[in-house]
Amino acid sequence: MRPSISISAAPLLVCAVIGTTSLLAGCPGSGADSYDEVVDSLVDAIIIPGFAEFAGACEILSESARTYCDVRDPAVLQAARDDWRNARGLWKQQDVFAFGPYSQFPDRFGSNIDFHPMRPEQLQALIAGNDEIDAARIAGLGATGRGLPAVEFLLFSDEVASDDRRCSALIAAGEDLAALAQENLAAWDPASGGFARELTDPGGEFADSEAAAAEILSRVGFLLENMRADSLLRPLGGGGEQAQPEIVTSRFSQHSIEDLFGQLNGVERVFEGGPARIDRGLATLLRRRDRHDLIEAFRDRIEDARAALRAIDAPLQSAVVSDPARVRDAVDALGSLQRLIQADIANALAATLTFNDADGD
Amino acid sequence: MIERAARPVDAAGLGALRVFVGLIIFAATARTALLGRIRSIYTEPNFHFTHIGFEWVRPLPEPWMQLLFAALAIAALAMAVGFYARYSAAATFLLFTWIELSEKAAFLNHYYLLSLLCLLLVALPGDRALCVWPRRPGIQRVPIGAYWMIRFQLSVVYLFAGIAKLNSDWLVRAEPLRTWLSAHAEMPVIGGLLQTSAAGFALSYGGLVFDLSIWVFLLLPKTRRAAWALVVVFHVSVGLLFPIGVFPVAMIAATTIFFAPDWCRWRHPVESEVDQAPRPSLRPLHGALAALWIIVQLAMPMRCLLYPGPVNWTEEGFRYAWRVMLIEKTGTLEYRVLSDGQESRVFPSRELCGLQYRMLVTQPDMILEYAHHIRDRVGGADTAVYADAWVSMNGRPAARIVNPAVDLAREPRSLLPAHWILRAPPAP
Repeated sequence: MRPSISISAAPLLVCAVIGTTSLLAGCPGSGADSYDEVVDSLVDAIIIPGFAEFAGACEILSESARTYCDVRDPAVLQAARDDWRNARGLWKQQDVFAFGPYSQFPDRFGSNIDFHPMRPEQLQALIAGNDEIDAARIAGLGATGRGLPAVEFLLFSDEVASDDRRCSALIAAGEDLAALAQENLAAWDPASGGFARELTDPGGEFADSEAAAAEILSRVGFLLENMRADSLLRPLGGGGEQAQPEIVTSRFSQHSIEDLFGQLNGVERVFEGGPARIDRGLATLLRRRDRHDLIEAFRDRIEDARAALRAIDAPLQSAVVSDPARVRDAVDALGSLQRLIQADIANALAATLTFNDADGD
Repeated sequence: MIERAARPVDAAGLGALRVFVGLIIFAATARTALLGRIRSIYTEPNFHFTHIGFEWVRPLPEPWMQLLFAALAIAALAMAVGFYARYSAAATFLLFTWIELSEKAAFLNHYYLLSLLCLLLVALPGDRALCVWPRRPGIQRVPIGAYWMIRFQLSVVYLFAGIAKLNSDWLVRAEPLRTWLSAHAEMPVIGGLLQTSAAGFALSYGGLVFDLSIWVFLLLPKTRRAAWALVVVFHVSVGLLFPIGVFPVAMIAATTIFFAPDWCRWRHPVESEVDQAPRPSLRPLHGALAALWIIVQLAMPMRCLLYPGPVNWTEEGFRYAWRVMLIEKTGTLEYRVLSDGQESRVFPSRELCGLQYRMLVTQPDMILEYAHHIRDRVGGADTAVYADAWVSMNGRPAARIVNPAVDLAREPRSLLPAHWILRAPPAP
């Protein structure tokens, strides 16, 4: 008789242990984690109010563009341009949240609201044609012909005063932008099931609150890199070419440097938890680790960066040609802040543990 | 020695290990696919980091890479159920190792361990044990030396993981554990405790003692059960605190090899049953191959001694050396490129995926390899590439890790010590 060998309870026990381990390892910790508090606070005090404020500003801009086209009054035009600058500043503050609906298909609100460089020729062709111009037509142009840059192109041209079709395009672009801003808000708003829930109730896109906070910290660092590489070095000819003043952001409104200030404000709000430093930001996590030195270093370096930006004689498209040294100083000052965040602060917060796509050992 | 190693024993323990390794690789493969990492790590990036000597191993383009993963999943399952066990283990080893070698940024010590275990399961007997499909009744006998080889391999992992912890950051500053634990400050029940400096030191020294000694207690029959229970507690705890994937599961499963060879039988076979099984043989060639394996496995973790400077900073001799959970390293990197009299800057984050970028910024050999990539892409014999690389390690202020005055375009990739890696900053 052949011996019958069966698998015993012992390996089943091992399998049970292994299975339990796997399950437990995948479970996020419960309770009031400091990361939970910080991420919740960033969502409640900065992300959602920031996008809501931007949506409100776009409504006002849309209305003021319509009013201008009705009355064609220079004072109203100036007010409409101020409304654009306000909306623009609020958007650049939110640039730091360049993930989720900002970059993910199908929404990609980052591109649809603020594609750079936009293609004026699309709008020019539309204005020169005979088709009816409405918000749907503007949306049909795609990211390169809509959003804040499209409104800027139309609004900051003297031709808007005399060209009815240009005014029609302005009204349509304003309406499209206002609608986009509302959709963007809804896409983030946790109350309507938006993406911010991924941050506040991790387990899906982010494994836990640490991963969510690490993502935000990572975006802060890469925003600073984008400011240096795209907004300053490229116009400066940092790719080895001659200066390219025509590729600065917001060139029609000469708002480029203010764009950078807006982005720095966004960085500061995420770090401090808000302008009044009353809510919880990334600094809260450093404070709990007694890393006050890094908080002070951040404040010093962001002020250095602001000073370097202030030292540039606006507009930026002139400065990259006439005074490139000061632009380079700003690149370096922003680089110093980027280094502090991506190396020192990320290290103190052990952000690599959650940065890692794979499993770190 | 060979005579002692040839003593026949039940192959069931080896069979159980084969089942565990197959299932773990299957799970890891499925997880990689489900999380979209085949694309994000292997097929989407235009550039891939290679291992010296294996530059020819590259990820396949879509859809072949997906098919490669599918084939690996099938092979791993086949290995687990015992379907042509040795062949499926060989296929699992080749496919798994190819994938691991095709992107250096994705290197993980526990994946290296799984590759080694697969290779051992190909080389060692035991392929007929615990075969579920097709079912192969009866007892397979194997030389006890086969168990010794696996036990040796796992002991090496623990021993060198322990030795690697004998550094001032670990012993004097309890870093990086102290920083890592502080992220769990408000965990229920133990959160407050984890925040304390004492907890950092206690767990640092506890981990050190565990790594240095657990393999000894696993080898001793009297302490084996208690030691394995400790293995479970230790790895479950580590798995709960840190995102280290399948590593805890792999170690808990693999260490069952320290139990008696028939630990997973319902009942112990009677002597007559054992006698019916064919008796295994050992030849001097087997002994020579085992000796070679042992020498290589001891030499690999110790090769870091041939390089100057702290290995945790330079990372020369860091990989394939069981240096696990030792460093918290973060950094920034950009390159200054001079070509045809023009200076430009290159930001590698623009081309690489997140994982590649995070590995690149702190690892000098990868910084050199990417510099060569820039040189080749820019072209021109006079192209010079300089790295502006800053790294913070275990709480130290960020410091340059690469000499910014050295033209990396002219530095060869080699296993020799790199003169362009700067010294580590002192601990704060």
